[in-house]
Amino acid sequence: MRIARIAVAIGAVVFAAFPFVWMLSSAFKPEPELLALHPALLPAHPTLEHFRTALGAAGLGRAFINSIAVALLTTVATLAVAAPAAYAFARYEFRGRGLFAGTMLGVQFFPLIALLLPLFLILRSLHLLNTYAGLTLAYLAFTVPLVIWLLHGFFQGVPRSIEDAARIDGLSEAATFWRIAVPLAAPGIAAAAIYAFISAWDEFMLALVIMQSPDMQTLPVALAGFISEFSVDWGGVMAAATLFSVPAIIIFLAIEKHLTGGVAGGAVKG
Amino acid sequence: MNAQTRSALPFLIPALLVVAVLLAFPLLRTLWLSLLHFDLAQVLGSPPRFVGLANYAQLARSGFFWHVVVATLVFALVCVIGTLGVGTACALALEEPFWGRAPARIAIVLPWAMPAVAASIVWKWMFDDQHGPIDAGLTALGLHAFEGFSWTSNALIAFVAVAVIVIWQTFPFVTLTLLAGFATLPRSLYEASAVDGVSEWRRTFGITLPYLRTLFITLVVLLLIWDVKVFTQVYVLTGGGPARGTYVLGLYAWREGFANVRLGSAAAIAAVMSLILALLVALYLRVTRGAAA
Repeated sequence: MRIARIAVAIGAVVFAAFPFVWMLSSAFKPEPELLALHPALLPAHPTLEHFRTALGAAGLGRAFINSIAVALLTTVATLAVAAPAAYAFARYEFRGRGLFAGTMLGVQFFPLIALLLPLFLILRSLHLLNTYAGLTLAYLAFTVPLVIWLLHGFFQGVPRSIEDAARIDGLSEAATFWRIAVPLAAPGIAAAAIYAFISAWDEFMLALVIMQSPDMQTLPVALAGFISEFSVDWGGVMAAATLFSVPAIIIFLAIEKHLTGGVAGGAVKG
Repeated sequence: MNAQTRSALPFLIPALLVVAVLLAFPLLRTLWLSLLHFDLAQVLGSPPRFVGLANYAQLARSGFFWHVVVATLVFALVCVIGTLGVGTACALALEEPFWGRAPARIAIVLPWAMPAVAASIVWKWMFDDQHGPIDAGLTALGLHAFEGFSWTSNALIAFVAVAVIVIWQTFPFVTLTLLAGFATLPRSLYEASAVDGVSEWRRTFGITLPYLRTLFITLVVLLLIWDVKVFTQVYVLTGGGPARGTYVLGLYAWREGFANVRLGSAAAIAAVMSLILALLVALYLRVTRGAAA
């Protein structure tokens, strides 16, 4: 039994990590090694050639900037809209609270394509296609509900007594939120910010339609564009994929615990 | 308006605006769009024509549409089974502490953390019939049928390849969720079974997994919803080919809307897809409510 466990664990680790290793190794392999009949696991003569191609000739530098701009804008706008709403959701028994909760949760299950068709027409008539603002607006449609959901738990964790003391000292509702609740929920807000950033960084389907002009493409769109070309420069593509995924993976690992506990907790507690 | 609502409103207004303008309005617009004849001419400015349920009627008459509906559902089901299988096996393997469990856990999170486009592209390179490690590896194992084997020229095999990518990307979610679930198991359950001398196999399949039944049901519905919405992995690996053989609903609606510029028909597909997902969500809510009661 113990041996079976370890064998399965090793198998799972290899399955999980191999594509990642292959991406890195391919990004550093010189052309002849990439196209070898029997490809080796690791590059014998590692090279930075592909990274130079990816960032230079292929115009990926521009896509990188676009991706960072849209992800940052999405993060800031999402938090500005979602944090107060999450606070109200955690603190007040307002009318329609149940409907509000249902909407926030239900949205995650909707197919994005049902949003994309009309958003495309709306952004087009507002001349917001191929702009950071346009793509950011489209992203808010799904990041805001998710982040409200994620954050309301953190605000619930802020002790009410501290807030009540602040109110007795004469702080307004808005000041209580901004000066007491927000600092105390800071770790949760950081996690939510990272979550919003990664959602925008990874998103593909909407960006593919909204950012069609070559100099406005975000990284996933530019990457997918590479492989639809007739002859694929796989070394360059793997270098680009590395530059695209490594930042996402590193910051994802930082908040991963906040994203899984909920499902298990929620489903088992009852 | 009561005092609570009055206090809450200023905090809620920006979010309510986002929900109204960027969610509710577009979704209603999709429904409306699905009742219109809306092609390239309309995109370019001519007035759209109301056609009632004609877009839906056309889909209902089309054999291809039903083919895509069935393909999407079967594909999603296969992915769910595969993801649960791999994810559960992995969670059981990592349940008890051993040296190297922490790094193993990080390795297992990698697929989930990787952006879907990057993951799909890396797998496309791994499935390459000339220089890919998958064909090379299978051939080295003595399976010579895989020498230069193309994973994308037959629809069924291409679907298998896409399923591998989807399973690879989502199994970590199952593993991490189950590991969190294991941590909620009452110790007394294990102690009792240890006293009774129950074997580890029986303990796993007779106690641990049945105890987490609700969690499993939640996972099944969540995964089903995600997998019905699959888009990126199919788009990157096969583009829907060969000969529209790997179309799923999301890709079909997308192509219909943005490649064929038939937005009315695309909206009808999106509406049907939303209906399928709404049914799955209703099922999900019933299940979780039932669990809470």
